[in-house]
Amino acid sequence: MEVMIVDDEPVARRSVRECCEREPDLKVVGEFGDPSAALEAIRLQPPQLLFLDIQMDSMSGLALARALDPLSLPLIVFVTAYDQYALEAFEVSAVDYLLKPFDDARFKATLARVRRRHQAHGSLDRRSALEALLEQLERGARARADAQPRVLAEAGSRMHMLDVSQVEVVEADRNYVRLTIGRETFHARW
Amino acid sequence: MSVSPLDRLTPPLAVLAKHDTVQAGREALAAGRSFWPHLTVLTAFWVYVALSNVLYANSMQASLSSMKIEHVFAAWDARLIQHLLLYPLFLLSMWRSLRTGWRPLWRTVPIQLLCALGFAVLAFPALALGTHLLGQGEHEHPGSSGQGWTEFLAGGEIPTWIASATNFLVTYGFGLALVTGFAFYQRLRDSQLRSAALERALTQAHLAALRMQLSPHTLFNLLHTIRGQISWDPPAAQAMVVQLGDLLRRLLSAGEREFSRLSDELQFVALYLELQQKRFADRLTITAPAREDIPRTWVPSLILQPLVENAVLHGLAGHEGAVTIRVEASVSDETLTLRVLNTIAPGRGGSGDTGIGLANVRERLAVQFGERATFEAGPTDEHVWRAQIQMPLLRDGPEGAARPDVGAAL
Repeated sequence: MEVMIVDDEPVARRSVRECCEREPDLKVVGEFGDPSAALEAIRLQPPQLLFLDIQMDSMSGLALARALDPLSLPLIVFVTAYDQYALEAFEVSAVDYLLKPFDDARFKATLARVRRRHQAHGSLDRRSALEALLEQLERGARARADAQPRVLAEAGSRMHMLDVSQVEVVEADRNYVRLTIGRETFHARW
Repeated sequence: MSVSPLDRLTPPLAVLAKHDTVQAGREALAAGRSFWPHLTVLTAFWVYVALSNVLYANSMQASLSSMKIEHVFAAWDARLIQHLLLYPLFLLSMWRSLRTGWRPLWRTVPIQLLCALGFAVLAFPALALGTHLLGQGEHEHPGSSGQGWTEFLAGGEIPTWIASATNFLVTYGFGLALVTGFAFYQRLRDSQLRSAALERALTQAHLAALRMQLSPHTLFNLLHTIRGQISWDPPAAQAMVVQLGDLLRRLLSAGEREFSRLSDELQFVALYLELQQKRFADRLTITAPAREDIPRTWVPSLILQPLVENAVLHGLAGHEGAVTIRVEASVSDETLTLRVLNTIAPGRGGSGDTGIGLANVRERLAVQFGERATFEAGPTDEHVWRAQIQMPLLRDGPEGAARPDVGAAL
């Protein structure tokens, strides 16, 4: 697979490159510190795999990914220091995201996902393509569920942590807030 | 690289700062809000005064008329006009009076008196004007004791004027007492609302501060261990850096939210203990529940962290031997029990040193659950120290049970 690496920190690029060089089937064809130069190069000659830093000064990795031609999109792995972008990353159909600092084991796990996707991409095996897609969707859904705020509420003597996005009705009830989900009601202190 | 993770370390301050702006906004709102209620109260009062005065004058005149005494009291329509004319005057003097307030007395009392007297003295001229406007008084009822405009201008009505002024001074006094009482009530209610809001913000800031309890001591000791490993065992050092990264990431995200899934919390604890295991080579043995045995429930974020930190310190202290730390989680009857057990050197069981971390655990449980949660720490026998939390089982919402456990993602 042809690989490009985009990160504005040279040392960070180097550690990704070294990890790639240990893999016989990967060939680093480009390294960029400047996102706009990277965008040009990717448009000209799209690689199969792209390691993309998210927080860069001039342009975020997410913006770069959105600017790419959706029809010749490389497999994208975001490399980021903090997982607050996980949800957005999966929304621009990233295969995976690597959290810094990472070690060989994490890199290999990500690469395994990439290879599964790559094979599914190339083969006519619809089942493996579907499985790879489902896995990605599931990871996106988990990131989304994790991002939802929750609230502590009681129903009778049972206590619950309710997903705020599930609450259908909110009513004031003296010192409490009454929350309704489906046919069940809960009371929360506020 | 513009977002520093350190920004995330200050949730308590952020909560307080946010609260301040909310506070300022609320006060500005209160100032604007008090106008219409006050106007309503004053208008209602004035309608009452007008009606009672008109009805009183009317019924008195009716009984006097039956005794063949006519026109002692002005006609009802003239009185109505008098009260209509006095209404803006009444509002104006009330507004001035409320704006002036009562402090300091020596400066405000003259202004208050001036407002009251100004209003009261103008009451009689207003009636005279009313009578005049209706074309009553001197022309049609020459025999009346007459509140006629010309007579009034001639100054022949001084005693009636004084009587009227006294009467309206009392009315003004009642009005002022009413609206002052109302303003007082409003301020009291606002201050109650404010103190409730403040209490809530304080609780949140308090909880946020209590969550941040990984001791700097531990952190720097870990860094020091990694520093040593870099030359002795580079792959181990790399693995430790990655684990420390995970630990800090979890610490920061737990610091932001009040509750975490128990599986996440136990993963954090495992990560912490694994790092400590590397620090103390062969001395630590750790037992934790298997992933499939972890109850599906939520716990206050990082509630176990001080307990395991304490177990490591307490267990290793005072001897050179091996230490076993066991973490347990069990559910019975809507109650979740979390235990951290560690072996101790013989003779150290008596030291009831519970430390600031454990006090925080107790306090956080009390703030969240009151009487429904308990925390105990102490030796069970001379070899084992036990810290135990009992708290309500916190389930997912109705459909939540069907969701994949987020904790398994990382």
